[in-house]
Amino acid sequence: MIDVQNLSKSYSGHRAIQNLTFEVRKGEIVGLLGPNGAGKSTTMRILSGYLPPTDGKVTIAGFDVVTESLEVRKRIGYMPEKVPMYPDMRVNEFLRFRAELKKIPSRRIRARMDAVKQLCQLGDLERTIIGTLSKGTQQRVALADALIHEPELLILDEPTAGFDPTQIRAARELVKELSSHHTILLSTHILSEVEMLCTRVIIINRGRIEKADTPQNLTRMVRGGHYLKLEVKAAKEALISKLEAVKEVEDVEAIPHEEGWCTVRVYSAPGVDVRDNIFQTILKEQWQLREMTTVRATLEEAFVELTQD
Amino acid sequence: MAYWTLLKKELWSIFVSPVAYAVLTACAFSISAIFVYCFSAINQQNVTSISVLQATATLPTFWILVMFQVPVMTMRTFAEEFKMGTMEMLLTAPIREWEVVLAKYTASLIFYTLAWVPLAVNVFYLHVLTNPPVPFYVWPATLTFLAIFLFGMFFVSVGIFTSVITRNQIVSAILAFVFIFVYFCIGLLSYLNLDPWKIAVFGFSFTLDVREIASYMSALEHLTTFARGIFDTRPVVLYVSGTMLMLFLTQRALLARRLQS
Ligand SMILES: Nc1ncnc2c1ncn2[C@@H]1O[C@H](COP(=O)(O)OP(=O)(O)OP(=O)(O)O)[C@@H](O)[C@H]1O
Ligand SMILES: [Mg+2]
Repeated sequence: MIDVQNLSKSYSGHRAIQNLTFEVRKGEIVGLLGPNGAGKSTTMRILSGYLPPTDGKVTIAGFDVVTESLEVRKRIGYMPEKVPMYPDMRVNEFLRFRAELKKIPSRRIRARMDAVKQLCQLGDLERTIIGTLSKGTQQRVALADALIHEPELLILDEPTAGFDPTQIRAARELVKELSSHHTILLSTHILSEVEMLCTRVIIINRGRIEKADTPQNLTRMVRGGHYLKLEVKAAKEALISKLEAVKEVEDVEAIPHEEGWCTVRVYSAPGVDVRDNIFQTILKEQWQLREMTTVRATLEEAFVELTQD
Repeated sequence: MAYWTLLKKELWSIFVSPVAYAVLTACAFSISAIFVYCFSAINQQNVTSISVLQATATLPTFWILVMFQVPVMTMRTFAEEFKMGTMEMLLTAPIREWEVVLAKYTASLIFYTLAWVPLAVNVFYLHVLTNPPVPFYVWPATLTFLAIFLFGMFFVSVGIFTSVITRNQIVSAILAFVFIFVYFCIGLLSYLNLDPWKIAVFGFSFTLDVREIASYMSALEHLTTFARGIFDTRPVVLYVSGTMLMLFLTQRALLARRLQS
């Protein structure tokens, strides 16, 4: 669906992105992550055909974004980061204007408007003047605009910025629902959202791709981010020596606290399950066990690790 | 076609704002005042629709009105859209730049044309309300309006161009004003007694007749000639090609602005 080759963009000498290469396949939900100023919005503006790249090549659905921009723009629904609006228009007038611009046949406009108003929960706001709407609601109007022509590809730049928790949840449901018909590329700073939604994540930092993988693989890569947490009643030294002897265990930490209980962290290589062996050892030693949990790193930790210097 | 949708929206955004009505009212008052003043100033014995329109066209106040009116009408077009950031949304829809340029231009031109309706009403009243009726000549009156439309067409395209190259409405209006003012002043050179310049470049020598060029470009002269009932195709060619050039430059500037933004 999206094919990006060696994409670079300079703003009057300042390099915003350098040599990005990635692809997004049909049906994927890809999250573009990165710290502020990483170049996410720049990338999306190029994909949407608004900015021309300084270097490199982008094709969307087989069309070049520079030379066949019109064909590309027909196929994408783009929601910019700063939702710009005509403040004097009513929601309905705005959606009709956008629908006509996007060349939806006039007999279908009504149906499409009703559909997106329902999807974005704008039903009772259709006669409201956009300038008087709250930021989150304006954001939903922009989302409705991006959806109105049923594009194959949705490019959403921080779609949930400004949403309240209920709306964020609703937006998540909406994106899930949309993903059955649309390919989606979104950027966001809410990482829990990405973990729940995205099939793949691209992390960029200072204009370069740091990593592109599934959220699960990314969290697994965090150093010391994956361990087994135990609470065992035993002496610290005994615990460390016995548990370190268990097959495939790499490291053990133990912190003693009240009444002889120890909190233990057992580290092993990613993808290796040591729970059975640990439990057998504990049984054999006849220690008392009151907790065993697998702790996984969050995407947030992966993000911080990948983007810090 | 996207052009019609855009035109509808442009007209809507002009006439939704109270500024439009303030401008139209101000124009109506000034034009009527100028007209009534000219009517009363000329010799009442041989007053005709031609002589009143002639007097109107040569009154400096009339031209000052034109110089202010056009920039005020065009300053918002692009400058505001860039400031609000709606350009990004507009240009990521499947439409072409020239459709945007043409729609904005047409809407402003309609606005400009509307502002001249009061002059037509005045000419009409001059004939209807006077006793005995002031003689009215259709052809010269029509040509007068054609001349006003022709240079307006060009000036509006200039205003659109200055709007696309600035981010600030006021700067855009000032630039358009300066352009129209300078253009008008060049026309005035034809009334000075300038000798043709003899220029020699690399052995080629030719004469540059400033007076002739100035008179070819003089909006004042075009208007007075047309008001006398004489149709001249040269101003038509001049203004139509000037407009096309300006609209072309506007489209290029819009592209360039997107590229560098
Ligand atoms: N119009 C512009 N002119 C000059 N520099 C720009 C422009 N837009 C962005 N930049 C620069 O390009 C870099 C990348 O910006 P971009 O907006 O793509 O970041 P981002 O990843 O979207 O950040 P955020 O998370 O804050 O939205 C930044 O250093 C920014 O200052
Ligand atoms: Mg951004």
